[in-house]
Amino acid sequence: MAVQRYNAVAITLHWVMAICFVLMLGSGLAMINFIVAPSLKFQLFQWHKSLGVLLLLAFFLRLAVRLTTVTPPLPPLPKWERFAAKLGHIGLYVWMIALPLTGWAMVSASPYGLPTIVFGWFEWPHIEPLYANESAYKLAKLAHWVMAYIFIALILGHIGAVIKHTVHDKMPLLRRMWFFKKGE
Amino acid sequence: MIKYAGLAFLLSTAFAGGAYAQPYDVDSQKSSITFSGVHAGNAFSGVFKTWQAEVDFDPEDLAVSTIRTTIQTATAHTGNKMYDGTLPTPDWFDVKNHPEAIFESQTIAHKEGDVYTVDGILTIREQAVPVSFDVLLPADDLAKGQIETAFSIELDRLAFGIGKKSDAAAEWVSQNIGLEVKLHASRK
Repeated sequence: MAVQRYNAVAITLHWVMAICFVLMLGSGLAMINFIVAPSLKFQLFQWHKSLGVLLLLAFFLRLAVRLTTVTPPLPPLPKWERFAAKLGHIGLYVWMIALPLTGWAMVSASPYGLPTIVFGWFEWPHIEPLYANESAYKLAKLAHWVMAYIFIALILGHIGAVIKHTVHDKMPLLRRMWFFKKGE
Repeated sequence: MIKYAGLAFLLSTAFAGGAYAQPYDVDSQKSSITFSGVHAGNAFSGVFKTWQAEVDFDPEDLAVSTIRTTIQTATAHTGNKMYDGTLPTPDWFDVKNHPEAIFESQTIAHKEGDVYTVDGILTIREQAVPVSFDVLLPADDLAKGQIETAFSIELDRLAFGIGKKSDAAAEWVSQNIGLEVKLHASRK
């Protein structure tokens, strides 16, 4: 019998990273739209950079787990929905790495030249060739910003598909991504 | 020949006496140069760990009295990793191209009582900016060959081009940076 759900490591990574990405999107939107007090804004920037570094590292762990372990087969779906699901999942993976990378490029090229001290714990290096490169900074900033909004759309599509299949098609999809035991 | 040598000696000592007022040895243990400002609403301060000062001061001969200070900009230290990582970079102290900040007095004048006004040029990042400050030097201390004083200078960091690219509007880092100098010295 084929596996019914993802393995425990994959499930843990999925949910922990999901929470982190919500925090990243929330803090990112807050920083550029709402927060004006410089003290809070500065701290939020440093916090956002710190978590971004951890997400960048977590991505590689997640990719390794995904590529080396067995994934449960998709439930019976029309061909185009299978295709959309595959495309959506690839998109989520691409965005999960592209967002931290564009953020890293932005911080590296920033005219502020501020070091990234991950939660006051260790210093994460800059991408040296980009140092204080204004055009690279503008490009990375634009990419980071545009990609964040597209990421929100991808996540909403992902959640929307789960809700649609669970509620409308009565497919127990969440079981694939939670620690249910067999026969539960 | 001997006659001329004697004359040369007399002349040289005369000129030496004129060129040097009363040189002091600065006690680097008790002396300090502290800088402070506000970043993102939070006060910060730091010290320059390495600097040298040549103090030559005679209240009776202010015309030849001078102060010259050389500060190693790479030794600016706040204890905050973020600040200490940023200060040496090209937009701030640019320590690779400008390893030293230099203060050189132009005139030292008697203001009132034991207070003297020092006017000089402070050069940071090759930007020479005139600065002026008052120093309290009690006559009793000077008579004992001692200098024990503290004074502050307010600097406009943008006048030196410090953080000009990053924060020209002083949105994050205050434009005014205070320097607090503690000077302990004894006559050589």
